[in-house]
Amino acid sequence: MSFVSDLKIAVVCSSNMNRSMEAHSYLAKKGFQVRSFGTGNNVKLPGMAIDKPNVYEFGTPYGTIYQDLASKDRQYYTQNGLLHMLDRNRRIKSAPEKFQDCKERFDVVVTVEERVYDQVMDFVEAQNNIDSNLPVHVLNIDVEDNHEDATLGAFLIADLISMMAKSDDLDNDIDEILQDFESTRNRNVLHSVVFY
Amino acid sequence: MSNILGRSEFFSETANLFTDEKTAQNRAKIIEWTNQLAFADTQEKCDILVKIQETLTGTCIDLLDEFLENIISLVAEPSVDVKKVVIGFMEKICKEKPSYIPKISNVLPMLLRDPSAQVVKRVIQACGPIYKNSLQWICSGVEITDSVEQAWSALCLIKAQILDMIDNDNDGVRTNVIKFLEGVVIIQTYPDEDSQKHSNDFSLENIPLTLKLIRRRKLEEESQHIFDILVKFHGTIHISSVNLIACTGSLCIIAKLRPKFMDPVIKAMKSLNSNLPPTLTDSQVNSVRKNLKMQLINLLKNKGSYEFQGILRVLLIDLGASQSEITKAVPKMDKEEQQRRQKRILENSNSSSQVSKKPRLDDGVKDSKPQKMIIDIEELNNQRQKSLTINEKAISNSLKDQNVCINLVIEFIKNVPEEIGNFASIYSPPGQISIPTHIAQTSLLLAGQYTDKKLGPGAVAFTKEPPMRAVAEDFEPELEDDHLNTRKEEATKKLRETMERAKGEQELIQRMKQRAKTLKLQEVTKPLPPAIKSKFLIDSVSRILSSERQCLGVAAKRRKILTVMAATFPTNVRYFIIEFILNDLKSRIDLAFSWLFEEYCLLQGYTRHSFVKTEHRPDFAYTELIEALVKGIVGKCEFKEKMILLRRLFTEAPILPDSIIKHLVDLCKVKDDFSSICLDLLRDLAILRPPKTQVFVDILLTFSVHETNSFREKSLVNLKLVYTSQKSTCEKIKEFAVKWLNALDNESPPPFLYGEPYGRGTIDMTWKEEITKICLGVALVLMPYCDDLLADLSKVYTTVSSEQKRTILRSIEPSIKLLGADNEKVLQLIEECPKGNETLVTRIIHILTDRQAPTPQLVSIVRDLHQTKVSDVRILIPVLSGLSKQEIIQALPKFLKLNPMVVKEFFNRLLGIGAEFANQEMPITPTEVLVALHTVDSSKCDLKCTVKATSICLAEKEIYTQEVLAACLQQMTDLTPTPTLLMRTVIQSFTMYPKLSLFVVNLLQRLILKQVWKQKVIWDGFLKCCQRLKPHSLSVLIQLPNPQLADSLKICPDLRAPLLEYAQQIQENQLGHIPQQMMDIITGNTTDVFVTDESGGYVKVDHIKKEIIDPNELTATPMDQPLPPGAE
Repeated sequence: MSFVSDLKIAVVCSSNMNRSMEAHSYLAKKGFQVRSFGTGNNVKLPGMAIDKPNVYEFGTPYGTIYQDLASKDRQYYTQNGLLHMLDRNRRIKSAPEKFQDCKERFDVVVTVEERVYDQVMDFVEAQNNIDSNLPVHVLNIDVEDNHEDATLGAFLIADLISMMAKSDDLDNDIDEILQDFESTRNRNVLHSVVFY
Repeated sequence: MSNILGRSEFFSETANLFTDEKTAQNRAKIIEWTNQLAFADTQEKCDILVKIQETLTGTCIDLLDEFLENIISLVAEPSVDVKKVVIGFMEKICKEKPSYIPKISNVLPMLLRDPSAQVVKRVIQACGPIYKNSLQWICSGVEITDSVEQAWSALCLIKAQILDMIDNDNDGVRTNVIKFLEGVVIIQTYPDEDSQKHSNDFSLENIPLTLKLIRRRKLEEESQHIFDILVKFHGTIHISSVNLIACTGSLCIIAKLRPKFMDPVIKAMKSLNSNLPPTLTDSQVNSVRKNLKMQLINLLKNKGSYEFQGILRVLLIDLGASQSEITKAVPKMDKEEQQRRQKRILENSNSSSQVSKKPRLDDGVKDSKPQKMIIDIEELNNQRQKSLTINEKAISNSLKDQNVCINLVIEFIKNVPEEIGNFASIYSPPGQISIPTHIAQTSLLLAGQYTDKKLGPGAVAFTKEPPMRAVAEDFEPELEDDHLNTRKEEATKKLRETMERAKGEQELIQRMKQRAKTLKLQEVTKPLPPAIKSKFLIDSVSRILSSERQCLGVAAKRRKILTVMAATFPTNVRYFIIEFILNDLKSRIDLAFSWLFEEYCLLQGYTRHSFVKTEHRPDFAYTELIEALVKGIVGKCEFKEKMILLRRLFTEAPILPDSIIKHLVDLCKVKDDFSSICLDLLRDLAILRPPKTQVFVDILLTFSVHETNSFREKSLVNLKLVYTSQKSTCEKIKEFAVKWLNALDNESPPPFLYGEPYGRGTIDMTWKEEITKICLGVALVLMPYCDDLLADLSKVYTTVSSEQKRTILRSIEPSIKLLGADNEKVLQLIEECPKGNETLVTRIIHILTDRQAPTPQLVSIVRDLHQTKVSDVRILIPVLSGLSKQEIIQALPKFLKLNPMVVKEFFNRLLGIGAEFANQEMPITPTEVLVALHTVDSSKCDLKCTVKATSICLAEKEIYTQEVLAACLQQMTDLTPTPTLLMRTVIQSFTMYPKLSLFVVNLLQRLILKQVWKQKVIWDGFLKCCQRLKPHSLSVLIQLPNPQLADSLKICPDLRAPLLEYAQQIQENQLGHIPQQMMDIITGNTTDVFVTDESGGYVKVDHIKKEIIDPNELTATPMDQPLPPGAE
């Protein structure tokens, strides 16, 4: 299997459910080497009431969650799109993953909100692995956590990743690319280079 | 017990067996992969390499030795990906097997110069761990060998090289450099109690003090230096956000691991916070600040930052951190430790003059306003007000002067427009006011306009750039005079501003900030059209070239510059420089050589210029250059220069391509004076350039059998020199000589003797002298140095035709002479004298004795030879002087029978006639020779031959002088029997020397006593003598007995009259008495009386008959000398 680019990409959101999975799906379709993660303590999905979310451990297969929700209230969860989303997710990979548990190294890590960005940075810094000297670009594009914005966000992320993939020398061009991206998409992007 | 031991041994053996098998399998696999590498495309190569790496580092690290070179050599691959994989491989090996570091460290500097930034980055990344592993390895107590030392110095070089790259154009490279330097700083410093600890830490502590190669102090100083560079880099105005973030991270890691750097790091952070690079965009500013905040919180968590907590808090709050966040980050410490730390801080602050480190916890809360790089309006107004006041004052002072006012009006009246326009609507007349008020109002208005444009004397009140708020609260220091911290920042700020002002960069930065883009030269500049570029290039090169005179002092540097240009620049520059050199080769030959060596270095890979790309073969440039030089030298130089330069070029050039050698060969073939110089050069090259000796010797060999005579001779001389000085060539040359010599064996010349290289086209059907000589040439020239060839020659000699034999005999002289009579092989040949070689041997003996006395050894050999094998007496001639007198006399008859020419030569030798024999000491004197001749037994030798021989002798008047002859005659007369030829010789003698007459008369008298008449021939001769010698002989005649007297008068009637007269005279003078009987005989009266008396006895009848052959000769006229035997 060949990929359109050598870049190894991670898309990270809070629960590895909606935004990261949307982007994961879209990027994978475009032929990138991509993985998706969540950074939260648990996988949280909206429940019947605002103060009663459905909480699962990372690693719980999407299929299981699907069954769980379907058994709770199939109609409700079909209506708010959760089941549909889970269905899509389980076609992509088996279960939500936690970024902090992953040992793989990426070239680019994209987060979808500042809190997640901070968590990623904190985690990476806390690793404190002074022997690793490979630079990783951590980027944040704010994406609202709902279906429509997730789809839009996936497009944006894909745009950005495509621009990066076109570059021969990403480390050198990333400033340009981000400026270009920011000015044309009218979005702010947080960017940092870490070694891990 | 022993049983158990045995078993364990058994197990380990089995295990070994197993491992061995596995290793062998893996080895086979790796070999297969390595073979595949040659044909794989880039991706496959990468995959294969990964596989090899896994196998090698995983299971069979022992095989590394075998394959490492192979894999490292792949760094020469053009593909970036392959290089990266190889670098990864090397990194891994340095970790797993540090003993290979020396091998790897040599490759790295080259990779660091790779044109691809990707590769460079990967190398820098790899260098971090490699450096650490190497240091660990060296410190682990390995033996410090040369290779370890080299590896270490290579690593130090790499370090310096990477350090230089911090100014690299590529952002990513810089980022990686920062990370590398961070690692170096951490390794080369001491940790302390607050350092974060890791399992595989390595620091100065781990370097043994005993290690001579690496000194702690040196490394520490270096790390300090690198750290300073990092801080400086961190504070650069134009730093990119990526670098900034990376650098911030690195500095913070350093601070965390090495808290002694905490102070400068926090200062750097503070300065960054207050002075963010103006080139950053808004979102980059956000990112940087966010990052900074995170880093500072992490710093705060480190116990080492205890004394800086205050500053950190201030900064963090400024960056938007909440109090709870900060509190959470502050490390928990018990009271005791807090006290201890406080105490230490106090000590520190006392010891250093800087007091500013002291934390001011309460100050932090004040500074909570959002700080951004915005224009400070308040300060701007302040400045404006000041400027306004100054301007107003100045203008009102000027306006008080009426002339100034009038001039102003006149000056500007021209500029008033024709139409009033909308001026009327906005203008309100001043109304009734006093002149001073008017002046004041006008001044105010004008001052306002002045100030807006920042003109007039008030302009000084403005700072060149608008005041920035980012510096804390206020611009004026007096407002917060007591605030030490702020004041310090203020000072930095001011300093920075002044510097920037001085540089005049501010506007540029301002503009850049608006565009929010870094300046990239490639974007704002357009490449020049190629034509102009190349013209500029050529022009500048030509300026450097034409500065020959001006550069006298720095000629070496100029040459170096030109060399590099010539070797690495595009072809038009090359040709330009070649032309330049050719224009004055003599004085520019040094440049040419310098260039030539540079090309050689490039060709060999000693020098690498990665940007040289050529589609030609690697040696194309070198060959082209040297060809141009040779052509230039040949075509343009004077004879003498040509000679010197060509020789220099050929002897000093690092490589001689075949084309050049061919050129030299062509030069040789041109028939002029230069040809021989070229031949000499060929010879010297054969001696001076051992790797090419074979080539040059081949050429010389070809020439040495060339058709052209002069050419061939010169080559032979040179060949001989090569043969004698270059031992390695001997075999080859000899082989050649034998081959050509043996060619003579054939009935007709074999075809290989002909061909274009030898200058002979058509093949001769028969042997001609010329081609025979050519075939002999090499062998004969070598013979004096390689006497083995003599055997070959003798073998060939037996088979060749007589014509060729003659040629050989004619040609061998110089060689044999050089070999000399002492040479064993020569003597051996003479001694053995193989069948068919007789003439050759004879010739050799002749040559050996020519103009010099034969050695005793030679003589004895020849004597033996003559006695055993060769009966031909001629062979003895050359060694005559070595033979004994007895031998010579014994052999004399044999000699006399030879060809007249040979006889003549024989006597020449025998008597030492002619210059060549003058010095010989013969065992036999000329007298003895002559006597011997006369005593030759006529049965052994024909009398005629003896006569001729005698004549030859007598012809040598210098040897047979009057005295010598007299002695000879005396001896011979005494001999019994009297030699047959005696009288003949006597006659000849006194004919030559008339003064001998009286001596002869005396002899004749003695002969009478010996009854000379008994031998008919001698008797005839006697009478002839008498005839010739009359009147002196008359006294002899008269002594003859009567019968003989009668006989003599009968034979010679002309004697009668003088004799009669003589007899009468005697009687008249009473001198003696002549008997009547005698008188009768004289008068002829009794002619018949004694005729029948034969008692006096003639010699035997047979003798008479035999000697009767001669009378013709003997009765010939006395002056008519017998012709020398050779002339018959």
